[in-house]
Amino acid sequence: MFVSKRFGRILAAVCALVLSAGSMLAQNITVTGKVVDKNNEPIIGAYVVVVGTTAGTSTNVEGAYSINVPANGTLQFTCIGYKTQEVAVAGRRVVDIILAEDAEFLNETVVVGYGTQRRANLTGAVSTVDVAKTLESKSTTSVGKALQGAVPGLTVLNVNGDINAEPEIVIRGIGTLSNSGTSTPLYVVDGVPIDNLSYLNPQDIATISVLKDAASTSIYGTRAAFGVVLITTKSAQTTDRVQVSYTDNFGWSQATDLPNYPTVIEQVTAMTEANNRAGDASELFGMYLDSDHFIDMATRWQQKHGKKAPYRKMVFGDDYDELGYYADWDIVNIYFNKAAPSMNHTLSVQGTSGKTNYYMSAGYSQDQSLAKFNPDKVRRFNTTVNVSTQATDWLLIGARVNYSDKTYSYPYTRGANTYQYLWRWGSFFGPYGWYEAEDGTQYEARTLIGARMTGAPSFTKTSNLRLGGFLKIDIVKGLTFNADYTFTNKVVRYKGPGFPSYVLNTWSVNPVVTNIMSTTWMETSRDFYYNHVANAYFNYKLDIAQNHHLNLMAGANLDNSEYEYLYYERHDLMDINMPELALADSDYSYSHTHSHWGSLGFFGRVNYDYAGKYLAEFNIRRDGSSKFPPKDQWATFMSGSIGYRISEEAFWAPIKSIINNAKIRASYGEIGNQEVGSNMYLETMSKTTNGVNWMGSGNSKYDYFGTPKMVSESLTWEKIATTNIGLDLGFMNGDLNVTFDWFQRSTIGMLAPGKALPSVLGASSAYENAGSLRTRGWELNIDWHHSFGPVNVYANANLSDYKTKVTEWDSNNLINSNYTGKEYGEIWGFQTDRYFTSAADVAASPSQSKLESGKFKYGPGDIKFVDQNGDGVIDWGKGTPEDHGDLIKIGNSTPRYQYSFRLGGNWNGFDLDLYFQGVGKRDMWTQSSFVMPFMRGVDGIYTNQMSYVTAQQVATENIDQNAKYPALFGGGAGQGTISSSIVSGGRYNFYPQTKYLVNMAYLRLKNVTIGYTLPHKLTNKIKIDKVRVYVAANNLVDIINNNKGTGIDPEINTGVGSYANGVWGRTEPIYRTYSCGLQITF
Amino acid sequence: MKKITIILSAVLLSLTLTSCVKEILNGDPYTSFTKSNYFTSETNVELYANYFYNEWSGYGNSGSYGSFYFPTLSDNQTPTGYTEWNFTSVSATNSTWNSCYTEIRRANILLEALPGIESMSAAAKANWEGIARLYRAWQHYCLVRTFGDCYWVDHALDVTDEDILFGPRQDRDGIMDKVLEDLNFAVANISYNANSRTAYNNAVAQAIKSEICLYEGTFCKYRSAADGQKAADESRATRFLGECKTASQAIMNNSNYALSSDYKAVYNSFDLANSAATKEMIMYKKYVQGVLSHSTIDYTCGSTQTNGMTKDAFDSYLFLDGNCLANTKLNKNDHGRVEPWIGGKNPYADDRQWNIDISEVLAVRDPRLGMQIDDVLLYPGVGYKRYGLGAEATSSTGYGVQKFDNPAFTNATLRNSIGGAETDAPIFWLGNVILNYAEACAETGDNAGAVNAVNMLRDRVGMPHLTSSPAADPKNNMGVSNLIWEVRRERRVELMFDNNDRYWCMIRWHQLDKLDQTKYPDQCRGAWVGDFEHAKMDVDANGYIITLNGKTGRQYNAKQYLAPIPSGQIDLNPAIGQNHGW
Repeated sequence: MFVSKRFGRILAAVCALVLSAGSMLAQNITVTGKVVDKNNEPIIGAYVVVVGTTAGTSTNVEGAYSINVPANGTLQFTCIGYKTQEVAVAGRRVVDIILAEDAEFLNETVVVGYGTQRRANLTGAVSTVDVAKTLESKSTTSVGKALQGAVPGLTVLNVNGDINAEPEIVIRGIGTLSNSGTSTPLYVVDGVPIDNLSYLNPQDIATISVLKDAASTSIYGTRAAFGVVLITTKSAQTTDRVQVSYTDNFGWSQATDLPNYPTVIEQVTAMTEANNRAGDASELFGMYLDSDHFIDMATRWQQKHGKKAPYRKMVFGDDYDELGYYADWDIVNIYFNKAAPSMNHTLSVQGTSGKTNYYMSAGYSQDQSLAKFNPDKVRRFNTTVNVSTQATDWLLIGARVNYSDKTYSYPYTRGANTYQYLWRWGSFFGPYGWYEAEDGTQYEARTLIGARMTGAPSFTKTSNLRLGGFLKIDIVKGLTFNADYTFTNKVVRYKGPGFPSYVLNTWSVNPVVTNIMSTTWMETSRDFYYNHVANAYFNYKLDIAQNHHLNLMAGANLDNSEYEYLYYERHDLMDINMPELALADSDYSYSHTHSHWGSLGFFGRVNYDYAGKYLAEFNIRRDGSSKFPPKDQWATFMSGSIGYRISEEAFWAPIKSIINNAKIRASYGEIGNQEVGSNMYLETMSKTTNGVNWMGSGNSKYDYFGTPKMVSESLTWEKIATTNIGLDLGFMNGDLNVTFDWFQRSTIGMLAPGKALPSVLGASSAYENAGSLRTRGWELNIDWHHSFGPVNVYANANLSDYKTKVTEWDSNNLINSNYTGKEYGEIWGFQTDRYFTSAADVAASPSQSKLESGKFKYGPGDIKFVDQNGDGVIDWGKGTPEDHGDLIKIGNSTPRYQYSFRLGGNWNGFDLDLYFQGVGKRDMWTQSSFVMPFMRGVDGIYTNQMSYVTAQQVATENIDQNAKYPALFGGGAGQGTISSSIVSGGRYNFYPQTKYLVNMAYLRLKNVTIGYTLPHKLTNKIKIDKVRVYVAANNLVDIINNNKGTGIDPEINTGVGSYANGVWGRTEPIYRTYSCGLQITF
Repeated sequence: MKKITIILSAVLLSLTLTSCVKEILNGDPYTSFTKSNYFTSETNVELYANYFYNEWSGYGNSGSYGSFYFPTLSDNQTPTGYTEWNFTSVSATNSTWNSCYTEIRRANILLEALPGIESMSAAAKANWEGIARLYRAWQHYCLVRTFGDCYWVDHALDVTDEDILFGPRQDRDGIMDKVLEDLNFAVANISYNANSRTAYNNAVAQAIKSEICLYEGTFCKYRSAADGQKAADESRATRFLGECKTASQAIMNNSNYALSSDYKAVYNSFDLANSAATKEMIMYKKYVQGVLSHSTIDYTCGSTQTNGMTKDAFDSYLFLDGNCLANTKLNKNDHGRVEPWIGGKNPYADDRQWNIDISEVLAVRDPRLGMQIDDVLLYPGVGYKRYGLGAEATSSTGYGVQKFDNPAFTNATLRNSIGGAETDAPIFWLGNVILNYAEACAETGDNAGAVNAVNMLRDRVGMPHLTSSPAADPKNNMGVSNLIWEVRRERRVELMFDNNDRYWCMIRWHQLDKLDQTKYPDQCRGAWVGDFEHAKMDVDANGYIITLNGKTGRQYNAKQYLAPIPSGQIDLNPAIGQNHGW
């Protein structure tokens, strides 16, 4: 022992001698120089190091440096985002250098759970969002909406254009069928979960990573079963001076597509045919549409005016009389604004003071809906303060404060959304002009306009406050301890007064001015969320020998939430100008819920890489959750991943110039899902206040406690197991990068209703861990960029696809419910053959009498379905996968082949960015009145529905097979004679079928932005770093839109009210926005 | 040292946080009970049982339809066009089937919990057991009259109850025997709220028993094996009709209850606690503006056509001489007085100018007719503002329904508002019970009992007495005695538009074929309007409004006696079987 120790010392001494001798051989000289990028802009803060020593410096604001270096030494220049370059001094006194941008991005730091990783070392399925291109210089204030198409595998669906709504976001599709299929990803902002992206100002965001496979997400435990969107906000960076940035955007929006109406005579002709067929009077609110008087008046109006009427005073005897309304109102232009304004502003300041860095920002945005009358408005104020200080050389402490205040204000329209009524009836019946009473007072008709204009101002204000502190301690070299704690308090305040609303009541034969709001009231509610999150973990970085790199991490996480909801409603306001609870005369109702949940997790992770070639990661997490019964509360989940950078192998050298980078990745992991709903294992009994329609002797309705639900004796975590295999390739010197992932995600022991039981049970079946789901899919990302001299161009494309299958389902085995083997989203229906040509044809064809109900009987001009099984009867068998009669799979509502591509470039300060986004394949069965005529009784008929089999054709049995629609009959929406567990709604001629399936595939130019950055030389004179101006347009053009005729935007997939009322499509239109903006940094 | 202190405190803090594991992972809900801790007091039992009141829709809740006026499947009322049978094909689901069994479970959970509630006295338990069993009986009755054979469920079912869940349906007669056991228990044990008119009490139990036993007695007497039912069972009928009489008499002899002097007050009182009809009420549903209101007035005076009274119903009323249309000596004219509008005059100055006046036609008929319909005709072309208020109402048949309206309801806006009305609705009342009694007597040969009961009702409206041997009415097409025919007529005119009563009567009397509109076209006809130019209605050759608009109308099929078993239930349990004809 003694000998060997001594020998070691001698050896060290010799080495030192040799090294110092070497350095003594060369003369040290002072080298100065300037580091610039290819545009000759100085690079600030680049490190300049003498190779082989620890001597180094960094560049100043001008990009200049000065360093002592041996005359024969080598200088190494490093800067994040640029390729590291080494230059031999060779006796020169001045070494200027141009650093090339690091095109490979392999050194890019990617934010992952509880840490960061070099992209080169990633083994999981992690995609990053190009924040600059996606979020900056856009008119959108919604991070969620902006993420549409941003990374493969992330599905963002904008189902309507509601300015206050967030899109539906899922990663790799639906992951569970329990809890209403809730498969939302976990959003983590600066290490702390957040329930909604709408609190964020896009301008504050620094990075967004999307973690897709279990190996990447499992460190977050049971809330991360369906992927994680990791967001970091701009934090304090060390800067040499105070940097101030200001950005703004002004936008003007209009609807992309809107339905419209044919002439009044065309409308009432169709309505009368449908009414007559059912044996009903062609009557609407006391108007007789087939009366000579009505036809005469409507015809006369049409001849006199020739075009649709704008919003104006209604003239008695022309627009209306005591027997009806005849004017053809231009609903689209009366109701919708063609340039609804929006704007946003953000001001940020960052800087360094001593050892303290700070970033502060304030943002304001406002947006309004497209309604011309009293539009809905959203205003949001955001502020962020991030501070960190290096208290000692081993302790970093910091704090983050985020506050967001969002106000959504709107008129109270009788509790019914405007869109419930906007398109419901014909363009003659709204009506959409105003009525002047004898005393000259102007009254709106009983329409959405009247409701909006007289509706009491209501609002929902959401305040979200996050206070966080964090510390990082360097314990010994390589070992750090991190801890953070964040408190979130969200308060939602709703205030909805009810005021008298005097309008012309047109829902009556002889209209009178009426107060359609008979009581006055004040209803208000408060939602309080309190959330505490604490994380603490150790990280130990260790290099063994030269090539073994280890990173160990272990910690604990605590998440505890409380929610309280209070609702109160009082009636009879003393003064409508003071709508406050205290100033209302009578109590009406209240509601209160209070709940809490919490989870606790212990986690550990090991990362290992050998020479950057062989990579491995292992995660373990033990979770406890309050969502399960005590005996099933705790569970342990593990995951791991490996990577092989084959391009680093010696044998790869011959092709390295072609394929610069090649990495194969594989991962497998299991995670528990706790988001299965509340109190699932308890036989809860809840109070419903005023829930009984009975008053006894008092003056309020009875309360009651409901029956306990049936529960299963044992209930535990759903287990989500994900396998991911990936391939990363880099070509053309890193200009072209391709990433491909294949995955399989299985949800095992999914909480599902137990076997469906007959209704005689008197309750829904208890939930059990009884189902399984499997999703398989793939994702492809291609990224290319290149500089042709001063012209930089880029192209990026994402494509992904997945299919979800129900692999196990114990409950009933019916085809429109879940069943073992079902492909999620599949739509069952009949295959449309043609129209019946005659009564004889009906009699000779397979009988469709099982589909008849009410007054509807199949006859000439009606839909004939294909008898798939040739048994002479159109039916649905048992409605099971084995016996489904003539029903077949006609489509699937899952968005398939989601894709996006971005093309752009810059030249001499000009930049252009084109962003296209689309869905390759998707079907929807809608029951919509816009897609098929008269789905909700005989309400309204639209321009695209004028091609139908007429009563004349039916009477003469001379059916036009090219007509778009069959003979008219009201009320096609709603469940027909087949159970909803077997086939979706739609009846009479409109059972789900191939002919009227909506093709929702689309491709649109989502965004185009043209910008110009003023030359630095120019702006520098007035001490401004950067000035950029731009113009942009969202949803400018549809390249593929199969839905054009209906006037419904191809992305819309919702409606106000029950789909059985044909409302699909009746919603806030999606809009096209033109905007311009400015970005200044100084 | 400082460094170590900070690290240690950070670690300790983390440990402290994780030590409150129990607290964090406790999942017990704050604002709901569970089955194991809820049933601890009578107050909680009462809160649970409050839901039982939801059963009685009365005049409806806010915008929803109630059981008065709205059900039009009978010969009394028709919309424009016609009312189709409830089912023309087998539906996938049936809300009656689902909701009845949900409610039966509700009752059974209470019945199972009661014995374990230590804080309740035996009497209290007996009372609540009676109420729960009464409710359970009512739900089974609703199932049996709709579907025939079904399942008797006397405990909260579990997945292990496979004999019921996956077994065949049980014989309806057996179920109704169990229903009677529950009813008798209820009658013997419900002791609370004897003087209340808005709560479940003993008299309500008697009234429900009266109704159910009348149904069961007559149904079993008239049912026919030829139409896929069990054969008529005279002794069973007698047993149930006897039970009906007992229950009815218990109420009729109870001094708490007395017939109102004012027939209309039963239906249109703003406050049935203080009304001419108060003492007639066994249980009524209270409505208060802004809390719980209904639309039964709006729908009978709003702009959309009301479902008017049919000519068939109109003609069924006796005349003031006590004779039917065929036999009366009084003026049989049913043509109203036409007073055409004189040009140039504001048509709205006098609401009656455009309407045909039928007050003279009504003047010679049973006064109850005039208490139920307007004395002018209302039709598209020009409507009618009843009491000069609100919208112009029109009727599908010309005969507007004003039975539920009240001239004191003068708020024009509320009259035409969904959920605008606050008149109270009778749920169980003496008049109805007397009719049950009269019919049970007539069907069991107690003619004197039947006649006396009917005459109680006739007395209050000033109609001549019924005798035990009334004259034959040529319209008697039900194959019953003249007396039974008259008792049935009395029920029809007294309970016109009430509770879907007529439809269920036709079922239990085995007279559903009488609702075939191809054979009885007066069910789709209305008032005479002749060629009156302002009545924009289709009329038949004789000038009577016809609502069919070229359609055939409703056609009878024997399968209509029972609703089809929903196909979804057959899918889940093929052993359940399907009803005759479906």
